[in-house]
Amino acid sequence: MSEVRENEKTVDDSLVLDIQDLTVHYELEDETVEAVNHISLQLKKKRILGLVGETGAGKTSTALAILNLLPNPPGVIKSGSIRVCGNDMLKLSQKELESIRGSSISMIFQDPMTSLNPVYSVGEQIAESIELHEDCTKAEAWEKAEEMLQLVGIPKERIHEYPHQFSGGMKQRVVIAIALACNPKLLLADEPTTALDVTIQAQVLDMMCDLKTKFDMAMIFITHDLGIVAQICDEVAVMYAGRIIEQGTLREVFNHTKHPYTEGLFNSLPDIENREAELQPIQGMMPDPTKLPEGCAFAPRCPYAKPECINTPQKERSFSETHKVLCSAYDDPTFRIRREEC
Amino acid sequence: MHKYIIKRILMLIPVTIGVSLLVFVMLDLAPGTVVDIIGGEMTTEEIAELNHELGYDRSVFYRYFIYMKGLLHGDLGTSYIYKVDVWKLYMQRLPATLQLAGASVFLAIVLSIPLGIKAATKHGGVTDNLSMVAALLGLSMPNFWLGMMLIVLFSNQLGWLPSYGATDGFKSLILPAFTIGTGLMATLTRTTRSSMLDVLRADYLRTARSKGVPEKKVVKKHALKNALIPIITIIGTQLGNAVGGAVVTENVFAWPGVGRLIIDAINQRDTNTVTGCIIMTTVMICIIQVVVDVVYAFVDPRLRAQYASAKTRKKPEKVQGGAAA
Amino acid sequence: MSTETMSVSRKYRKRSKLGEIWHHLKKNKGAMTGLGILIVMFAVALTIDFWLDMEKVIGQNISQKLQAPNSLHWFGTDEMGRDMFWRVVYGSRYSLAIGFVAVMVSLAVGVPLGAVAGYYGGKVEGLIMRITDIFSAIPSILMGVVIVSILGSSTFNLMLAVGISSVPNFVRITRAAVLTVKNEEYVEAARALGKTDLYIIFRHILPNCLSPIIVQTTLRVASAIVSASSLSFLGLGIKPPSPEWGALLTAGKTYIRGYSYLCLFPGLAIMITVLAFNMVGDGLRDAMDPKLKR
Repeated sequence: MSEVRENEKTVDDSLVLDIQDLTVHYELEDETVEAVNHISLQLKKKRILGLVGETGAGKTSTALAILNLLPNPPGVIKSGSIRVCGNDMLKLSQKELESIRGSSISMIFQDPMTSLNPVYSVGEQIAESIELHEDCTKAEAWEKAEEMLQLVGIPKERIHEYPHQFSGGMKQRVVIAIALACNPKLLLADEPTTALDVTIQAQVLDMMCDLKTKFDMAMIFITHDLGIVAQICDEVAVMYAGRIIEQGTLREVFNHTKHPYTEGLFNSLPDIENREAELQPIQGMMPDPTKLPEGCAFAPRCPYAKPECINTPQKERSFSETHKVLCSAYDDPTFRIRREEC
Repeated sequence: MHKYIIKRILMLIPVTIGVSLLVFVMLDLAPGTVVDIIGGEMTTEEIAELNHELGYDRSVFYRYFIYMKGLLHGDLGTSYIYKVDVWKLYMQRLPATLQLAGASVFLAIVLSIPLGIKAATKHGGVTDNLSMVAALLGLSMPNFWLGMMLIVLFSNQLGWLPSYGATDGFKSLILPAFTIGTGLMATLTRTTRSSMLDVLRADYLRTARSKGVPEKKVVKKHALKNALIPIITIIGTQLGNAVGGAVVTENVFAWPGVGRLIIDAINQRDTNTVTGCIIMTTVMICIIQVVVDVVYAFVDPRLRAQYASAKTRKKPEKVQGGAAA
Repeated sequence: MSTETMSVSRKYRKRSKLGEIWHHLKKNKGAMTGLGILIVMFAVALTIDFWLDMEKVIGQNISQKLQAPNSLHWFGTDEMGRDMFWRVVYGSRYSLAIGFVAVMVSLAVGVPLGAVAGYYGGKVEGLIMRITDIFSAIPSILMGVVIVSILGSSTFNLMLAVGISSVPNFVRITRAAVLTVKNEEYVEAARALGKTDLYIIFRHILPNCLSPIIVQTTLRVASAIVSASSLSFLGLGIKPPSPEWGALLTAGKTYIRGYSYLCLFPGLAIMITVLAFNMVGDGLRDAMDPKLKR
């Protein structure tokens, strides 16, 4: 695997992840779901990127594409390139992919209840990953598995127990231990706390942040909870209907919001200071992902939309080196969204 | 665990009582008695005496009561026709039945499980489609007809294999084993495939892949062990059916097994033999069930926990096998 | 995620439940083939008396006996010189009738018992299920043999025997299905409205348990046809020279050395019929069970 990396030395070394123009489709019998459309995304070492969007926006598909683990059929990567630590995930052989998954990059899934194999003990599932990627004996792997368990706050005596003997929060800790067992450079966390109770959520989140610092890894945190993003992320990318419609640093996206959809997301949050204020949900529904318009998919719901928005393909506009927005309204230089005016 | 096994065995008692009562009553309802069969050339007095001796001058419940009294002492009764202990009679026939059952189930396991796995992992591919068509055909063939056709081909035309009896050792086992095995293979391949298909979509396989487990190991280690429960259930059921005697196939091949013994006994109204053999079959099936349950526990830690807490077991869902004769 | 987006798009297309099932069934080539075969067979079996001269089926012609299949007698002739093709075609009447009536018998007995067991639970359930256990402890073919012995061998008794021996199956399936819906809210609601148990079972519970029962019915028709021909083959049930397929096989068995076509065609006929039912049954199961859509 090290040779692979050397061959690709030309790439910027500080980038852990470099996605260019990624498009993912699900080709079903009588229709095609355009899940991810021409997204580009970069992530530097040790940074946390929050990938935000509502259900069906294409967040999970993006994450699975990064691992080259899309269910195929029906999932197909139509275009683009994905580099993880310099390795082009879409060009590697199956064997090379297997050696990268779990060692350089790993993933935590949304539902801890189903992401552990019910017939193997948690110790075995952690140790398996270590045995696969590290040159060690079975006993050493188990020893390290014990360490990992303790690291995620589970007493090592429970190493021989099976998933059904753990609670949801504990299971997610085990999943995290599996993901971190081989010190990955990049961790994809797909709504790791959504399925948990609120109190457990905070515990797991704190632990993940601690471990992130301890392991020096970069992380993509997929969520629809803007509160979590504000708490832990350095950068934010907002997805809508398979496109990244706004991305930038946390400060840029939260304090200098540009895209009407992002604004809509903020407006639909309850306001702590003004509890009387009514929530302003975004009207309408996500568009049918099998029939996306040529232009802006958000236009039908957008309060600023002009008739031409839906037909003209949007251009990406940069407001700073890091802050990029996908919205045609800014063709008019005087355009401001309301959030920015006040 | 042993608590659970004891419970299972205790459950045999009511079933045995019920089954034997059912057999007694049903054979009593059937016209004619064994006395008509063996009493062909007897005088009227002799017949009356025989009727008295066998209890046919009293009600069926009296005879049942006498039989159950014997059963309590471990006596399965005496065959009216063969004048032998039913236990002895059964034990004479059991080896042939077990041979046939073992051979056909073995065939099914060896061929079907790999085929079912292949069909599921290459879902929609050539192997999948071919094996599913073959399985459907196998499922739809009447056993006895398949047996007859095999005889036509391999005994009559090619002269390779004997067409009846069990006297030729291994050679005579082949055709009957294939005859029964075909249906079993069909069911088992379908079960393996559908169980694997269910499991292959599971989230934990995605977890395994995401940590870099090679695809082969994902299927053979992570998926297969989870798919085993329905597969084991079907194997258990099939083995159970087979030890009950493959009545029709035994008939086609003149195989000296339990099934033919029972059929003959029914036709001769030999109540003791029928009851004794069916009780023994029930016992055998119960033993197989217990073994299957123990295997479940090995495979699935959740079931192990259930046995330990001695709760009533939730039976794994039976997979419908279609037309198995 | 793809399933989520798919369900969103599915919301826009509304079909009745029946239409939805038909829509899925239509795409299943196997099921449509099976259905086609069955429709032809039914059409033939129902109308055969109107267009076929019975002489063709039962007419003996010793001079033409035991002919191998040829252009005049497609399936050859039997030991009495009867044309095997028409005998096999006519035999479809027996097999289809037996299959259907037998399954009707098991439905009529099994479904109510299973529904009562599932709905009431407790002692009633225990009693029904134990009796079911006892019945299924006797292998179904032996059960068939005993019942035919009791009732005497005739076509109708054969139907009864085959039907009764698959009752336990329907009891189990129905009970399992009822257990899954009996705690649904609409049942609670009906109970809260003071509806009688009978009304609730027939109006609310059974209609929602139909899928497994329908699938099982189709598959059971297939196995009933096999069981019936097995019983005929064992010499119980329908006896030669009736052109029932099992009986044809029994008759042909004597001549199997040298005249194997006498056994080949009736067996093929059974197989194709059973295959057709199995294909339709499989298709229905896939179409009705959204979990299994793949």
